[in-house]
Amino acid sequence: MLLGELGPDKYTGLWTGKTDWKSAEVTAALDTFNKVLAASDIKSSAADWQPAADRVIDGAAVYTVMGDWLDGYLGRAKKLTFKTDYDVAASPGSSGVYDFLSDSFTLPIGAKHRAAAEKWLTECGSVQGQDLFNPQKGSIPARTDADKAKYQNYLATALKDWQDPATKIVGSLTHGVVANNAFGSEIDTALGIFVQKRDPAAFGAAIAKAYADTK
Amino acid sequence: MMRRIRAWGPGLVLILPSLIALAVFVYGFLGWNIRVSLSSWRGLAPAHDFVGLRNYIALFSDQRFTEFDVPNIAIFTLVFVAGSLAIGFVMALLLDRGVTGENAFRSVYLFPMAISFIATAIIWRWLMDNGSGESETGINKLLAGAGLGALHSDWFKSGSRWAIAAIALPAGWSLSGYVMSLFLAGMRGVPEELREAARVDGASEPRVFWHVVRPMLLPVMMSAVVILTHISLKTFDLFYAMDQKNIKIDTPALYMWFTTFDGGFYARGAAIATLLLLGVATVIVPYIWYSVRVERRR
Amino acid sequence: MTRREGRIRAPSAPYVATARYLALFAFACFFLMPVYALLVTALKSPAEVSVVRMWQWPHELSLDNFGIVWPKLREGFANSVMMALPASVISSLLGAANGFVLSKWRFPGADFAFSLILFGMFIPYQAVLIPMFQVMSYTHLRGGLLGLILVHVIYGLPITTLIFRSYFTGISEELIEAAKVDGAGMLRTFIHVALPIAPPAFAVSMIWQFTSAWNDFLFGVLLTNKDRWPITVALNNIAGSQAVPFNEAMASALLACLPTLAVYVLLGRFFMRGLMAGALKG
Repeated sequence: MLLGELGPDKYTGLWTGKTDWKSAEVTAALDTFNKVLAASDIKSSAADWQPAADRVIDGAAVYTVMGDWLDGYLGRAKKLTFKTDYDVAASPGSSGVYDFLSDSFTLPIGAKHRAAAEKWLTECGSVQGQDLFNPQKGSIPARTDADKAKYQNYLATALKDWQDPATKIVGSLTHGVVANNAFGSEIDTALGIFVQKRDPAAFGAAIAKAYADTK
Repeated sequence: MMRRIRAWGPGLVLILPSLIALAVFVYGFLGWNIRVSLSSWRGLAPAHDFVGLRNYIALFSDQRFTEFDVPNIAIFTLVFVAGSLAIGFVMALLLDRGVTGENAFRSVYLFPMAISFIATAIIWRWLMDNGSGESETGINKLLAGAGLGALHSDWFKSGSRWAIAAIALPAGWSLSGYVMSLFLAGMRGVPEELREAARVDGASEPRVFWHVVRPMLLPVMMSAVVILTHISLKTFDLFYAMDQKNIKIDTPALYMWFTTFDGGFYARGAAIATLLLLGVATVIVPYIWYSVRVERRR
Repeated sequence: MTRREGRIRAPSAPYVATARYLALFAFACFFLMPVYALLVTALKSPAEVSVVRMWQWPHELSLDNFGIVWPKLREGFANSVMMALPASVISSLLGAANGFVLSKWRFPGADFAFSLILFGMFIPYQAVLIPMFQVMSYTHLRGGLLGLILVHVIYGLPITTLIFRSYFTGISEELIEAAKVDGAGMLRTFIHVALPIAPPAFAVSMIWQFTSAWNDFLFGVLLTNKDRWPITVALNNIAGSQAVPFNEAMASALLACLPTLAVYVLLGRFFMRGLMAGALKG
C-alpha cells in the first residue's frame, strides 16, 4: 500500500530515514490503507494468507495481495490453471516495481559439519538446485543463467519483470529485508494496534518513534 | 549444641542440593531478571548499565501494554476465574450427595486437565471458528442446530473488547473439573454429625447447606481463586497456539515473549515479567503464609 | 479426600433426582464435545474430512490420518519420552528426600525453608526466562534435552517436595523413633524405613511430574533446537495454524495427548491426589 501510494523511492526512504513517517503523504497513504481494510474481512494483523486465498477460490473475495508463493499454492496444492482459473495484476501503483525478498541459508561460524554445509550451499546455489527448488515453492531463481523453460505461466512473467533492467527493486518489510528484528517487531505491534484502532496518524507516529529508538 | 547439630545436620545436608538449585533457579533468576529490567539491554549482546525505572515508565505509556495487554488479562482472569468457580461449584454440588456413576462423571469432568494447553488450543481454535453461512462450523453450527443461531459468535476473532473472554471457554474446559474436585473434597470434609445436628434441629437441606457447609467452603474457595488467578496471569501457550500475534488476545505473558525473543528488547521483556511476578506474588505469598501457618496450628 | 461410608441420604423427590442427572449429563456433554469432534475427524478418511462437517459421524473408519501425521510427530514424541521419564524420576527422588527431611528430620527453620521452596511452584516462568536463556546458553545446555531435563527437575522440586512432605507427615512418628533407637542414622532411616512405605507418594509425584513435563511448551520452545523439540513444540509447529488441514491437526493433537490420557485413565486415582497436593491440601 505504501509502495503503491508513495512510489519506490519514497518507500525505500521509509526504511532509511529519508521519508518521514509523520509526513502528510504517509498519513494520506495510511488513510487509503485504512479504506482498503474497511472493505476487507481482516480483523487482525495476524490473519494468515491461505484462508484469505481460499476465499478468493470460493468466490467470496475478489482479490488478495500476495507474493509469488501464492502461485505455488494455487497451481500445485489447489490444481488451478493460470489465466483460466486465476490471473494476476500489479498492486495499484506498483507497476514496474518489484518488491523482493529472498530465502537464504547461512553458514554459521564453527558449524559442526562444515564440509556438508558447504556442499548443501553449493547445491542450493547451483543452476540445477535453483531450478529444482523454485518452481516447487512458486518463486524465481537468484541466478540469471537459470533454465527459463522451467518457469512457466505466472513465474515466467515474474522472472521477466525481475530481469527487466527498467524494473525498480525494493525490499519487503514482512520478510525482514528492510527492517531489523527490533524495528520489525515494533512495527508488528503498531500494525496490530492500527488494525484495531484505525488511526493513521498515531500509526505513523508510533513507527517514527520505533525507527528512532531502534536505529 | 554440637549434639543438636549432629542430630539435624545430616538432614540439612541431604536437602542442600535441592535448596541450592532452587536458590539459583528461582531466587537467583528472579533477582537477575529484575536487574535486567533496570538495564537498557536490547539486541543480542547483554548490557549491564543501569537506567533506573525507565523501562517500567515506558511500559506505562506503551499502548500495547496499557490499552490491550492489561485490560485483556483483567477481562480474561475475571471471566475465567468466575466461570470456572461457578461451573466447578455447581458440578460439586450435583455430585456431593452421592449419585450412581459418580466416578464416571468425575473422570469425565477432570480429564481435560491431562491435556496440554497446546493441544487444547488446537482443538478449540477449530471449534471456535468464526465462519458463517455455508462455512459455519464448530460451536456456532451446534448452536444453530439447537435453534440458538442468535448466539452465533466470532469468538476470539470478534472485534469486541471482550474477544479474549472467548479463550476462557477452553481454559475453563481445562480447569473447572479441578475446581469441582476441590469443592467436592471440601464438602465431604464437613463432618456428617454437624449436618445431622442441624437436620435434627429441623433445618431443611438448603438451610443445612447454607449454614453448615457453606462457611466451611470459604478456605476451599480461596484456594481455587488463588490457583486459578496465578494460572491465568502466567498462561502463555494457550493463547500462543490459539492465535498468536492477534492483539485482541494479547497478554503481558505474550508481549514479554515476543518483544524479548523476537524483537530483542530484553530489558523491556524483563520489566513486563517483573510486573507479572508482582501480580502473582500479591496473591500467592499471603496464601503460602496462611497455608503453612494453618498447618502448624493443626 | 475422605469418603463417608454408609451415610444417610435425605430422600429427595424423583423429579429432583431426574433433574440432577440431566444436569450432570449436560456437563458431561460439554466436556466430551471437543473429544467427539477430535475423534470423528481423526478417524475419517482424509477425503471425507471437511471443517463444516466436523460433527458428522464418519461413513467409514480410517486410520489414514495417523499415517500422515505420525512421521512428522515421531521425533517429538521420542524426545518427550526421553525427557519426561528421567525428569519425573529424578525430581521425585529428590522430592522424597526433601519431603522426608522437612517432615521427619527437621532442622531449625525447616518451615521457612519449605515456604521458600513452595513459592517456586507459583512463580510466573516469564520472570526466569531471560536468566535461564543466558545461563543455559553459556553452559551449552541449550539446544539438547539435557538442559530441558535439568529445568524440569528443578522447577518440579516444589511440588514433589510438597507431595512427599504431606505423605510422610501422615506416617507415625513411632516408626522413625524405633529406627532411631536402633541406632539408624538419617540416611538409613530414610532408605530403609521411609522409602519402602512411600510407593503411593511416588505414584502421585511421578504421574504429576510426567504430565507437567509432557505438557510443557514454554521451556521446550526456549531451550531446544528443532531436532530435540518436545512433542508440544512439534505439535504447535505442524498443527498450530489454520493453514494446516483440519484432519491432520486433529489427528496430531490426539496422538500428542495419548500418553497423558492413558496415564489419567489407568492411574486417575493418583492423578487426583496430585491435584489436591497442588492446592496445598495434602
